[in-house]
Amino acid sequence: MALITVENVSYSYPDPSGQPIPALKNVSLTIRPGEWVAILGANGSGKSTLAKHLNALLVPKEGRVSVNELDTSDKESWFDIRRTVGMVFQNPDNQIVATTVEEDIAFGPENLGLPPREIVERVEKALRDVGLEGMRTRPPHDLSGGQKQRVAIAGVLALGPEYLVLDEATSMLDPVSRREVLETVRHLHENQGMTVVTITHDMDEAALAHRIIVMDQGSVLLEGSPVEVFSQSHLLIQAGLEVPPALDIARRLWDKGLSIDPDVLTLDKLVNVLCRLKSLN
Amino acid sequence: MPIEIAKLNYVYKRDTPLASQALFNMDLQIADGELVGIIGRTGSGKSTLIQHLNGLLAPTSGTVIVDEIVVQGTSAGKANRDVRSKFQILRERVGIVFQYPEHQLFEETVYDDIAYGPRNLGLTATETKERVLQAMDMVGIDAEKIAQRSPLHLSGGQKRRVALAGVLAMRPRKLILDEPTAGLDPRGREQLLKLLQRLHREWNLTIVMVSHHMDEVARMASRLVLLDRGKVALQGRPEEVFVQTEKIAQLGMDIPFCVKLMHRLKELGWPVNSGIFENEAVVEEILRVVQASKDNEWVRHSRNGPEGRASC
Repeated sequence: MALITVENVSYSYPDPSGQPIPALKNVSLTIRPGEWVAILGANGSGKSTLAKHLNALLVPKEGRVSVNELDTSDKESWFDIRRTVGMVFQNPDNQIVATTVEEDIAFGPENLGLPPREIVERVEKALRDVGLEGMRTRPPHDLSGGQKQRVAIAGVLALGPEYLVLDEATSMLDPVSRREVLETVRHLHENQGMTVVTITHDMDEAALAHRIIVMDQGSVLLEGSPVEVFSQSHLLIQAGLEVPPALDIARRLWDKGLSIDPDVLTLDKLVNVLCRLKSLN
Repeated sequence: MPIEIAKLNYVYKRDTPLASQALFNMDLQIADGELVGIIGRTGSGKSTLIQHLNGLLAPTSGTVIVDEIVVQGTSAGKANRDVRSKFQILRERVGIVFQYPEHQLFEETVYDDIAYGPRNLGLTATETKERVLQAMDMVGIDAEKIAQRSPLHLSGGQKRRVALAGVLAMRPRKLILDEPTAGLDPRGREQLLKLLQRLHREWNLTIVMVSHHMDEVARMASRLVLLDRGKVALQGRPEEVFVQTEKIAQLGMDIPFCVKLMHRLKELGWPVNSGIFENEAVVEEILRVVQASKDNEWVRHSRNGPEGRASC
């Protein structure tokens, strides 16, 4: 069955004296096909450790992770698992290997040993999917941060993944680049049914997801729709997080006695709610 | 003493086929005690500019004057021997905190890491200790608990403070920070921003911070400088800069959430002030308008739509 399941997973890193420092404690969750899931959590909450378990970059010390029924602790499956679950990391400069955009995207499919015609087809499709057709022969280091991150995404897409995991992939980008990358991800999700897992500190980015998982000290603290999760603002703040600015403002207005919906997560919604409120006066 | 930059040009890999110019004829002054935010897209010249402020880069042509230390374009584009000492003084006066400074922590203990700079200045153990303890105090690190621990075992936010303390222990008069909150969680970010505000206020440090977070710089900075392709495209107080919504969009920047909200409400006929950058202040402003609308005729007016604009 197409599904990622994480069952009772614990993981620890050794400190320099060899003592284990727990990073994940008995974590269970499921990523279903076609979903967009955001994983939130403070620095050190275990969210990146969790993400690395989704494509067997890390293997659980206890518990089990399976990707489309392949157990990640089985080395024989790693090749298939990593092709199925593509990862994009924070720093675009660390993810680029070739001297032109198209060669960089071709790196993965070439390593799969595909016939040249199929490699070309895959590169073409990936270039189209991220909107970089015009840049194919450019050296990647000449591109903007957002374009480099889109090259990294295209490189992953060329392997034909079913899941795309973005580990703080927008955190080093300028505002326009951040929007570009999110638009690209949204396009893949909406038009191609790509399953998306984003790990982020950006609450507006998290609000785009269907489901949010909040990590705190190695465990799942909260799980639910953005509206459900952000309604638990005191728990989020305890976990070192915050709510989206629209909701924060709505909350404060509500505290001051205005009757305002508790599910305001975006600017548009907040403007609507305020308009309605004023016309009632 | 202010920072004065005049006609600054910088070319990477000059005299090679790969030469590319990063700064064009830039003029910029930064007065003592200012908190300046530098914004702009990737590749707009932000990092190149700040590296000129403490002599990590020397101008290809033009002048950078910091505390009356003059760094001029040299024909070789590199510092020669007799200006070395000048660069040394410059680096003491101007501290730079790079992106992800915690990646540069390397000593076995937090104390030694912060002491690295002062020791290299040839200070005595007593003087060094005084500086280290003061720097730890400035960034809010509990010396008793943390001084002897390995910096690698601290949380992300703490590591960044240690890295900042290492720069402060050099007692710079000016502090330059490149994306100081990148990668920090919301709590860590908030704490770091408060810390920078305190350093600015209590120690009267001149601060220049580069940031991609518009909400952050709008709240912090007394002046914003927006760079575009190696030139200053826009500068002024945050409320002056973010009013220019079209230009900002053209230059590929974003507008702080609070300003966006205020602009939207203004378009709808709300008489709100748009130069507001804190959620709390936004709430006050909305309440003021809602209250006023209950009391006066503005409600009737805006229902009809002032001057035919959309309204609510």
